[in-house]
Amino acid sequence: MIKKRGEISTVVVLGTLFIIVIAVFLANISGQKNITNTRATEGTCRNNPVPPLSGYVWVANCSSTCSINSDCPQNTNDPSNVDKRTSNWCYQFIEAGGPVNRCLQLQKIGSANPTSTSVPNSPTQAANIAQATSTPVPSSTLPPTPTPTTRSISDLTRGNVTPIPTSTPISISDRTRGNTTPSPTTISISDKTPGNTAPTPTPISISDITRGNVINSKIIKIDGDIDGKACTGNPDADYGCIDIYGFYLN
Amino acid sequence: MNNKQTLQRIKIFVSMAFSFLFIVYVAPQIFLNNTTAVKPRVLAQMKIIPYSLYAYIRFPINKNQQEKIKELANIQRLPKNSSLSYIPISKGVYAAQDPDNAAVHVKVESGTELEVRTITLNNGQTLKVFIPVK
Repeated sequence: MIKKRGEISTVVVLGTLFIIVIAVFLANISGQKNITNTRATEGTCRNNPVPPLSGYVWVANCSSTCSINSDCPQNTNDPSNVDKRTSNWCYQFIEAGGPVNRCLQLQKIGSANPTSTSVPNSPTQAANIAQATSTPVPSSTLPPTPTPTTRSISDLTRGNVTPIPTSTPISISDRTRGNTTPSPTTISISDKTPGNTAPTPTPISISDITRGNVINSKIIKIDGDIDGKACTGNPDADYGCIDIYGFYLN
Repeated sequence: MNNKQTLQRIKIFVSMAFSFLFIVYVAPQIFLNNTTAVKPRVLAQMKIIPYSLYAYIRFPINKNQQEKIKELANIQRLPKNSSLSYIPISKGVYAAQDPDNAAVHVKVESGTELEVRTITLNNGQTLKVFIPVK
């Protein structure tokens, strides 16, 4: 009797372990599929990782990598619609193996002129800002910093328009690059009619994911050399990382 | 005999239910995004136990040293790769990217100060990060 009970217990225990192993295996396989799908839609190399204004497209070059904006070719083929100085962007994609910088080039869809009066004339040069930010190694992995948005001078004479902070006009590419704060919508002549302003797309940058409150902070002095891992901007994987990029400084 | 069979079936069913619940609720807390990689937070919590013991034995009176050793247990370490060429970032801090897996190694030299920040993100997640003090 005791022997039989022992056999039954053994069978039950082994059965449980077997089921756990199978379940973990299946869960991991399905999880890997989910990850691939998610990354394919959210992080891997693709056109328009940040939505540009209507009529334009950021074309990604997925076959090569870059370090700074000047590594990427400018769009010199369409000077009437795209300012070449701000048409190239070294943008960071989060791919399966980690962050990868790839070139984006701003192009106009079709041949129609842009509807906005302030686009895309005389853009400010946002390129290479990533290099100047706190992205020291090994490449400029952060998109350019925010640039104040301006309107054309004619907007000042229209109703319900707030004052303009600076007088520097901005190109379409500057307004659609990552890490920018939501900008006021460009006002066209039709804005004389109330409620006719178009919504501005608000790109979600990686810094939005990493914003939070500092609960406590202390400074320690290292006694021996440490080979640590740099933060990637993914909070799930960043516990205990060394933040050299400034992901968690806001 | 029937009772024994029923009991056995119940046990098997309970085992299966336990396994299912384990996979659904416990595994996501342990594994990173449904991969086989363990979450750094879990690893840190596992490491903190031996580190704490070591700290109490090594510095039984010095609370600051104990705290420091416990904080250092949270740092994600990467295996040393001598083929990497490190670039200086700030005083005592160097970084290099591993071309194989794109991971960025950060080497912090002895004597360098690190700020340990505990952050609660907007999604409610709590995080501990180390920022080199310039």
